[in-house]
Amino acid sequence: MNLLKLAWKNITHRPLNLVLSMVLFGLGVGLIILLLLLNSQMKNNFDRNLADIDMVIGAKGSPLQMILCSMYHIDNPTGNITIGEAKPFLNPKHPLIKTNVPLSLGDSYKSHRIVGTNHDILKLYQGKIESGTLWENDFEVTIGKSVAMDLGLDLGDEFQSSHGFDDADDMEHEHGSFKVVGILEPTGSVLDQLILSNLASIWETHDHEAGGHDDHEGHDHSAHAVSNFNLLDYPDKDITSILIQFKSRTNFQALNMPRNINENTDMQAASPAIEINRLYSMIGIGVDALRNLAIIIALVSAFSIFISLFTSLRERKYELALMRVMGASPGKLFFLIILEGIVLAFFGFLVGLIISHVGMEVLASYAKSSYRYSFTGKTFLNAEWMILLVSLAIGFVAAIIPAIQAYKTDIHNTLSK
Amino acid sequence: MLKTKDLAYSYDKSNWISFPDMSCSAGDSYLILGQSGTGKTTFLHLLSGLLKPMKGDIMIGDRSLSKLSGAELDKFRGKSIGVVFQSAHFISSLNVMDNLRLAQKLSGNVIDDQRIKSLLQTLNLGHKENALTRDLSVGEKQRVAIARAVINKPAILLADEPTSALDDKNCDEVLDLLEKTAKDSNSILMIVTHDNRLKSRFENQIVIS
Repeated sequence: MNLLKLAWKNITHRPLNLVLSMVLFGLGVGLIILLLLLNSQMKNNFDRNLADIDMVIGAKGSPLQMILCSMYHIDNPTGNITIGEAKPFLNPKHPLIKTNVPLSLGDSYKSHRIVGTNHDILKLYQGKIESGTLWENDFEVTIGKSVAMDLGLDLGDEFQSSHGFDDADDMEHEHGSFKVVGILEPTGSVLDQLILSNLASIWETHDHEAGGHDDHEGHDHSAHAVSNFNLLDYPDKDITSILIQFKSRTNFQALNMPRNINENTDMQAASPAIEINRLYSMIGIGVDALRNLAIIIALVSAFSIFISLFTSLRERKYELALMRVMGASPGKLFFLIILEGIVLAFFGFLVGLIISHVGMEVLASYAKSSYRYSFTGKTFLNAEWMILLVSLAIGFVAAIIPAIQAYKTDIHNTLSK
Repeated sequence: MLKTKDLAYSYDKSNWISFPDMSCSAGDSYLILGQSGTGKTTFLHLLSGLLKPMKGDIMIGDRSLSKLSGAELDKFRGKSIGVVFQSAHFISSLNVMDNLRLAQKLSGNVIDDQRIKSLLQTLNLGHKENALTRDLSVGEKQRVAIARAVINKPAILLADEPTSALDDKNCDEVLDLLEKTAKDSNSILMIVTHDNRLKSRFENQIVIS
């Protein structure tokens, strides 16, 4: 029968008060932890997908849209550019450019984007083949791990693509049945969510759609095999964007390249780091507002702990005097009430912890389909220890005034009544 | 052993209540009589160390209550003084057993479940160990209160109007219990009352007026 047990019994003796305090406290703490989890996982996701890409070139429009589309595969393309226009940046011998990865976007299969590109894209995200082979000929695709798992696709499976990101039946292309030839290892990056094909497959699909070509009867699926395919031979073809890594990030000319492109060509260039920071600062306002709301809830819950202890003390005045008679010092009563505040806060924190991580798991199931990212409620942050400490401190502070009252219990007057 | 000498107390520094000198030894029983408002409760609170003497002194064993610091007095009270109040109050969130454990713990003694159980047996409360105190009958409550007062084998067992609400039969029973438990733990029993039924039963009577 120690003080902790007594504090626990006193708290659980009034279950309604307990539930009210815990739910309020849990909501505050839960919201704060949820925000932290979202923030950190989103940042992680974004950072991992930055993949050391220094510049993205695409059609003029919103630079943020272009980045979100080309690197995160959330938004729609800003438009197309011709290979002819982008020729200098696709040249493997460009003195400033280490890697260029052309992307041709626009089709999807069941909300997973089909990306026409070359094998260099794997280097950006450290992608490795898990089973099968890399895409080589027209209409061969290698798919990310999440695609394989979500859609239940396996080697040899075939599917029809559809235009855009929607999964509407009437948008389905009549032509071109894609065939899965390989599955990639999971990378934790956006690569997991993509269906990779060669550029020509995308062109074929859309050229047929536009009715441009008539010679499809006898066309050769290996005509554009990735391994001996030279992009620069097709200056009239369209691509959506180019992901570029510089040889040196500090090179003056490289740093000026985006501005030159924006000023002197019909294309636009954008730096992912800058655009993503811009995005953070935009989201940040919402996050700040939510965080302030969470802090207000936490303060209200601290107040509820205070009220709960304060009212219970009035009912328990006689009990406290009794404890003094039984030999408890005023300090012990003080400590008992403080303990009750801290225990209340601790369990409120636990409730919050559960709310936030379960909430995160629920969010994750939604976020996966709309953001192409996997969130999880199963990871914990170091900051949660901090929040535990702050919670206990709130419990302590809320209990101080009631504890002082308990300390001052006048035994003689209380017991004379 | 309990001694009081020149004991007096005042709430407003002008009207002093003086108390008769006493000298009691272990195993004795005393009746402290007086009408309402004569200072019975004050005397009880002085003897139990809830109030500090303003004049004179109380000696329990070889300790002088007026010389103890606040913390020492708390400890001393827990160990050496048991009080049965007029109406029985408990820590409502704890069951009977835990209330008694708490009394042992707060006095600084080791928790001794054997002692608690056998005491509850002698008070005919063996089956109520795990009951919440609010579920007890009035009589049971009073017996638990007695158990709590004697659990630490105090030097003095004080009872404040233990019989005022009881009929003759129950009155006798409670007095029997008080005397028996006081004897078992070798305590001085002091009953503060205005109940005249008790006069015939106790030899040692102190009247406060």
